[in-house]
Amino acid sequence: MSGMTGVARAALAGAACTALLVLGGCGGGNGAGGGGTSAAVENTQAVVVDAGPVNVINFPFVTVTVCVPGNVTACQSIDHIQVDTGSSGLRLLSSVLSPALSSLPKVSDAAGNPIVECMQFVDGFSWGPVKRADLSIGGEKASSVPVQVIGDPAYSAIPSTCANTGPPENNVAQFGANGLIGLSVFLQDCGAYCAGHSDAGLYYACPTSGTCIPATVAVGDQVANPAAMFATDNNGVIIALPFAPASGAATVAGTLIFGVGTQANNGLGGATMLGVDPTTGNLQTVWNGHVYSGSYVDSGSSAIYFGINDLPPCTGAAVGLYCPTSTQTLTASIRGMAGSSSTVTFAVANADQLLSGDPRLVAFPDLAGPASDAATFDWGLPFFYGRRVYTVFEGMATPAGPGPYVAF
Amino acid sequence: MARILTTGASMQSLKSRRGSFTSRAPIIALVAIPGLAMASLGGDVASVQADGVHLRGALAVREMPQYSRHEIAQANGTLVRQYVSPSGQVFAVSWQGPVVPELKQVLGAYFDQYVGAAKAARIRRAPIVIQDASLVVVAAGHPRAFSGRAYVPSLVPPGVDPEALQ
Repeated sequence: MSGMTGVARAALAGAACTALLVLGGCGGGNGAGGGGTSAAVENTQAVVVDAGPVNVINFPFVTVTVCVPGNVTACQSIDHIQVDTGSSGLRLLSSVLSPALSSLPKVSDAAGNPIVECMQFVDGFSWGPVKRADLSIGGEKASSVPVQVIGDPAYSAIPSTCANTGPPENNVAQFGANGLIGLSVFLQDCGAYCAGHSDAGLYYACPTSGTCIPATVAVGDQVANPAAMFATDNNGVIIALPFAPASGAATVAGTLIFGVGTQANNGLGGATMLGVDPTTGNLQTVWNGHVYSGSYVDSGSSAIYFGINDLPPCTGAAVGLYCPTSTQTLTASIRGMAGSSSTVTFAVANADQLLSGDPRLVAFPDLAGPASDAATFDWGLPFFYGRRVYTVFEGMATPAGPGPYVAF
Repeated sequence: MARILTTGASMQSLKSRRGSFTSRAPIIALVAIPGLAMASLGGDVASVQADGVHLRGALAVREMPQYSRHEIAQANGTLVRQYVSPSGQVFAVSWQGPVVPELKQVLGAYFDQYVGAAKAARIRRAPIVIQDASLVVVAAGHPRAFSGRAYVPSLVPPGVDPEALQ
């Protein structure tokens, strides 16, 4: 976790940034520029797939540095932040925050009531206030980013309309990480709808803990995709992971690259662009003669999920995944909105056998399981091994055209 | 099922969908009733008005040969459907849209089993799938595009395929 070493790391980051300032890097404010070539900004950050704080499978993590806005001495380096291309926004578990970050300013409504969010994920909800923070990752910086602080004891009373949506994920054990950096195609977690309507169930105004009412929140106050707020390299991200052995690995080291077509290291090369639905982020996958209309490329999913028991289900350690008697090599076609498509080959191994082996192994490229509906085809983290997967943000320009799109 | 329901264009999308229903089958009720609640899985449809938790939205009821489908289109774009047997019990439910509805209301007495299964899963950040003899629940998706369905096998009317409900 972060703790003492975090201070030292933050100091190092600050020193590096000072050096870059001389070269015109390390942008401050909420830069809105896109596309253009920017020299000298370090636009990469190490990604690691490892067991994390609670022994998770196929979670990609990064370390981020978070500061009180405008205060370079009130900072903390926080490791094991999950990288998620299926959601947008930086979320930090309250329990891992050092006292230095206790003064992160709250986002409030016009009446001064703090805004608290009920964020929804497929497997549960996370409750906590929206606050502002400066973020550094690699050499990139974003200022006054609205982030969610999950499990803040000052807001321990959860409205029933939030708790009634599913299982709680309000501490590290439930959440599986110290936080999450959501880098989906969307610029905010809700967007225009929540600026005009309070009934999405995401945002509440809480005069006191326990007296929360549904609230509208201006787009600029919503929890935001932080990579779109960088001064440079802000039009998208690339997750580059090496191949992982089929038998599993304890650690896989890769790279998170910011920007698409903005520096020498983030060009599209021969990648195929696949436009996604601008309202859902979904595209289509065709497999075994069936069109899955709700398909998505999601580094935050631990396996590839598709089909309704199209392969034998696991009955042991890996209940919920597929367990073919021998590894199956399958081929599918992923189709974008504009009609472009890419054929991909993926393998499905016996997950019971994989997960009942050496408990230190946590990175597996051949894990898949049933989504159990006719529409879902979830290209989770196994899809990312051995690829450079591009996520281009909505409305952002790239040399190959505007987002939202994915490419690989 | 296409995830065409969206936040920004939700009402327009819902209108067009409802229009297509009209052309294919008779709708015996199509009214906007803000605050109208719906019965939950395993519940009695007669309890609709008594439910204390509301899924606000427009209600449409469509009679099928072997059951009736009660559909609430929430203004936020999420569509919740309940499938009611001739004996008046809700034997299946489904939801689809940009946000997860209040599943405690939708799943009723089965909500705790759903939460328990999610907590027990070894693999995190995964669709929730329960396939027991007494209950089937599937929940998938991601922010801005969630979906799910559930049914109680013992309550499914004869001749109805619960995997093929529309």
